[in-house]
Amino acid sequence: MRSIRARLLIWIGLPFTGLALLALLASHYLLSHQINETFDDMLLNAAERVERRIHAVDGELRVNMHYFSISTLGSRGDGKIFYRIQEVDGGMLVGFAGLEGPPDVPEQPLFYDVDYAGNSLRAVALTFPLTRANQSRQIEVIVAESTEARQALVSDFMLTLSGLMAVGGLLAISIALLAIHKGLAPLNAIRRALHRRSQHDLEPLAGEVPREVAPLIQSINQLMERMRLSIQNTQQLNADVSHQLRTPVSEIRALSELTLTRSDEPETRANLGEISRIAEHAGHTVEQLLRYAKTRHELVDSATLASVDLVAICRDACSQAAASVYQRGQELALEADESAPPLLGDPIMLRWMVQNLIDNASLHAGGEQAYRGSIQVAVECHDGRCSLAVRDDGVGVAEERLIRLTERFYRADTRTQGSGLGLAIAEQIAQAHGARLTLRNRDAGGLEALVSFPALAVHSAPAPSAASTASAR
Amino acid sequence: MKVLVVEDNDNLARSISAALEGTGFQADVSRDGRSAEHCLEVGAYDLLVLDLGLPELDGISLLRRLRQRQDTIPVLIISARDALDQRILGLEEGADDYLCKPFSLDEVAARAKALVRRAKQFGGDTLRSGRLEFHPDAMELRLDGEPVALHRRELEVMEYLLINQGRLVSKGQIADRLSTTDDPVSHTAVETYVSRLRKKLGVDVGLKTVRGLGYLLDAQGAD
Repeated sequence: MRSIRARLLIWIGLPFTGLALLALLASHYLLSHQINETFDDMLLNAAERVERRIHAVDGELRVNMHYFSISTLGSRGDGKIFYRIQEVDGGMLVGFAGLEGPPDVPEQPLFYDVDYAGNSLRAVALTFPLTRANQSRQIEVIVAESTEARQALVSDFMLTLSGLMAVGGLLAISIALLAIHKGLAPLNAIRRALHRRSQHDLEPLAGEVPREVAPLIQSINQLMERMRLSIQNTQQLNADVSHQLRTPVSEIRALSELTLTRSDEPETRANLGEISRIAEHAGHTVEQLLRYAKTRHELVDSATLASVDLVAICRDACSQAAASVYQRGQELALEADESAPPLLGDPIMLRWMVQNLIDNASLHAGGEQAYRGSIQVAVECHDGRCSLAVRDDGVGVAEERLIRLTERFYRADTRTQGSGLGLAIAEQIAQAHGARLTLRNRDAGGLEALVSFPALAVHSAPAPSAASTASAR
Repeated sequence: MKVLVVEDNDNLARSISAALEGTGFQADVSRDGRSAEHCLEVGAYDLLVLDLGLPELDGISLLRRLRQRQDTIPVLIISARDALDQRILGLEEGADDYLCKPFSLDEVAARAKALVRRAKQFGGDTLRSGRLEFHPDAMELRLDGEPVALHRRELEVMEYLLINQGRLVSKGQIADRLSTTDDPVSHTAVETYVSRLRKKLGVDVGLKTVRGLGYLLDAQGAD
């Protein structure tokens, strides 16, 4: 579909061009007509002056045509003049015999167009009685001039007029473009506002808009609201299902673990061990699904974000993870830039993110083998931009699989346990904070998960303790 | 040690109390908030395991009333609700620890033991971790049953680590525990005590230094 700008330009431009052409045609017609009349008058005037040049010499008529001319408008002396003077029903007096006369002898001066000797001429024919030497005769005078002069004059006028019109047209187009630009400015502002926002931002468009686009904006806002509600419903269902599954999964797990400690029968023990393991996995998946549902960027209300201390959050997450990390024979280290400025964020979600990244390293860094190395959590700040890195010294991930790691339920290694949601949740939480999660293989070996927070998220408010920000929720 | 398990789900109540009894607790079970409140008034419990979603009187209100009465009994909350909704609320109302469903019985037992241990951290029961054994009354640490000659400060560090075994302990926490108004203890001093402890013990007892964070004593992590 054509753009509004193009439509406006076409609908303004075409009619105006048409009007301009019409005006030019009308001008041409009127000008030619006017110029013709004026020239015809002067031609007639010249023809009438011929009478005075006719003398009778010894009873014979003579015509003195020396210095005969037609005073023309803007005469450049390049007009050719032809004439024929003769007695009606009589002999030729003087002039060009071949110059064609009118079909009838005119009573009134008669103007007509005629060709002579390759020239396109305008002629006037008139008759008058002449009394010379007591003899009265009817004399017919035809005077013709080439039409070049009048055509040149018309052309001159038309050229100037066309030039003026062209300049005027260009000016008009510029003004139209400016007007279109000014008129479309609110639309452009809306377009930019929509373009700027993240793909997950479903907040309604705010701000003053012109009356004409208000219904459109309203519709967009209603659509976004409907989308948000629909996503919210889906996520709420997801959360409800996960929530309702928690208690039964807990029961299965608790009962199987309990029975396991009471049973001596090997096969029963093996089966109970499996049931317990599966229940644990199901429980973990339910937990992660719930987190996945709750950290959807559409649902994270930026108004609830508070100023948080990333280092304190990392310390909390590390403290929670430490016991299980060391039980797996791995080591954990935190390297925190204590001068890290506070971030605008959700402390619980950020802790989930750090936990998931540590869990991911702990469970998958070794590839097919159980990982026995160290996991480093680092908070680094450069130029007001903070980043969080979780690094391991494991086997890394094949490059072609890196990009897929944050996909829901994608698991690079299907042999190890996991919900397949950990990195997807981490990425989602990063996005909810305007941050980016990048996974890359380290040069020294192993994987690095890097969360780069935007400079904007750095909050200028004084850093409250993690506990007080948490209680602010 | 007596524990009251307040849980309306039969299977969970049974499993939790059985698991706690397996680790040396004597467990009673209440099915709702009202009867739990009654039990707490009558019996002297060392620990309360509290489900938040209860009939009659909900867990949070029960906890709030308990703390209003200046009852300092350690409380371990169990909830089907998520950290995002509930964790902060429970901890604000005075819960000591929090477990989300689904949990493992081992985790419940470990947390319960840790809570009681910490509640009784000034004297009392013998603390054990792997090959280590600590007698608070005698201020004596034994490795494989043999007493280890340690400085008072080192013993205090060890006691604190044992009380908090299985948990990450920061240098600051140890320093706070050791410091008195007359005799402040610096982080560097804590490092010195820990390294001396290691040297004097001579074997790996599962005491890990977690760089940038602190220390973790976990006998399961010992080689």
